[in-house]
Amino acid sequence: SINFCSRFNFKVLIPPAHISNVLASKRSPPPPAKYGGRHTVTLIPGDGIGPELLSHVKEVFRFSCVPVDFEVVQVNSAMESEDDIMDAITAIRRNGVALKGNIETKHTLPPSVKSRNNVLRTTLDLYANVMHCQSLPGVQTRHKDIDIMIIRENTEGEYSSLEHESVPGVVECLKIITRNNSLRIADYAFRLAREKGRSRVTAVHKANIMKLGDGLFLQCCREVASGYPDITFDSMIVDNTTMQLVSKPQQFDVMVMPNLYGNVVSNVCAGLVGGPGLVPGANYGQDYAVFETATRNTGKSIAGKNIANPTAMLLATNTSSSFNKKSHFLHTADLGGQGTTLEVVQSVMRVIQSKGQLTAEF
Amino acid sequence: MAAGSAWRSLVSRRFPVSGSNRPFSELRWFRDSGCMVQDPTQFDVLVMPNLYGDILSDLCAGLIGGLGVTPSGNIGANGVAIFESVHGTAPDIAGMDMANPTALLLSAVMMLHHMGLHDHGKKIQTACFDTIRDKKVLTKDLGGNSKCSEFTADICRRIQDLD
Repeated sequence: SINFCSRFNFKVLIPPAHISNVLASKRSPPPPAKYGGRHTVTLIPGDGIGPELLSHVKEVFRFSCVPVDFEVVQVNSAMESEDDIMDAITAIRRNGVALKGNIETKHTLPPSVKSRNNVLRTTLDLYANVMHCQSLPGVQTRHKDIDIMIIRENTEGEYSSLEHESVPGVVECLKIITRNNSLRIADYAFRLAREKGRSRVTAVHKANIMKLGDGLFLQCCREVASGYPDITFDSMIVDNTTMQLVSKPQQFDVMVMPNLYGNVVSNVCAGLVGGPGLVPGANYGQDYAVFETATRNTGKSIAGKNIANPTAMLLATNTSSSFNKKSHFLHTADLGGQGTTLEVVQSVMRVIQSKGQLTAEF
Repeated sequence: MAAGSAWRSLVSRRFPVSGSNRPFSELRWFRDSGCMVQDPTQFDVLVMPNLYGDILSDLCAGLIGGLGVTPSGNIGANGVAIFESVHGTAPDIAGMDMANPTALLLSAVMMLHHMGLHDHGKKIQTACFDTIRDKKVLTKDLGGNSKCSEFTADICRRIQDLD
């Protein structure tokens, strides 16, 4: 069975608490942050192109009369202290949903300073990163008819931030794979596949080398797969996966994988359908959801120039299904076009207006 | 990650950027993989740790036609090296004169360059590329119907013509 979290007005795939004995407590979800018919959503502008894209999102929401108010929380990526990100986490706990730009991880800070994005994901236990990668009409790419859902474990693996240098010049980095998290991400992937009417789930791994780590992950996927006889399950080694993606991506349907492989597969798939400016992403946990662009780029080099592609961020808000299917595209520079960010956003608003929906002033 | 930082600072220190001859830039490897898919021509030489190299090398092989045409070498200290193709053993076509020898042949060319036999290496590589470009004698994996021995014979003929 699939539970719909009553907190949100849209479908959020929350795994039921009965799944074996591995999921967390059976507490009921917090009440929704909804007052007077309006939702409150935490908005974290982040760095680079995040602030400008999110201001466009706010404008589109206002124009479309979407009943959402944004609580903006700034996170200063240059600070060593974690106060900012903890404030953001508190706000997300309060509101339940967030929309964020990527927070830069400055390499000038000491290694003890963890990635703020990572802290947010792990603290809120947003264990499933979901990316739906599909070919968009009007975008010229080498490969066509791509429709892949990537489910990436979001809280452990190589991103556990457990490193040490016992001997100078020799660094050890721990990759953590747990049965608990592997079972739940596999279960999420199969449930999502069933809900979306997908027929095949592929686990991506490197279990031939990391026999214990990835071996455990693969074993967990197999266990979960046995409970879904209607869905075909197979597995593929990650290096072969990237090769297959660039030569025959249409063979893939739903893919589930640990954290680091999800990182590279997401980026490869985004490249296949036209680039990071086009693909939205979502991070789901038991109680919270955070939406952002799929490839999590700050886009520092193009910030403030009105050339960033707003598509990924707009699609992350799920506001623009009409935009998604539009056959005519005003292309930004990343797609080889001349359109500015603002022009694309205005084009979206014109399409929304032409649908005859209630809109505010342009 | 700290490992990444240490690796990065080590490479920058030992091989400082010197004028415009050897520009050194770093790119987060996952972004690399996305950029590689969109525009691989922007890249020249890439250096990276083990796992990333495993993944990225297969990704790049997929971009140029697959493991059947991709050579590789493993270089160690004191000039010790092993050159090999990285495709599988293909037991289903073994002994049937069907396999594409390009990957192993180009690996042998890498070996010749490693040994200092540059002229020989260049000649064989040119002949091999010309055969593939010509499309007249291709093995099945490249879309042709020729045997491995026919493909090889064509390369040998071109080498003879180059002499």
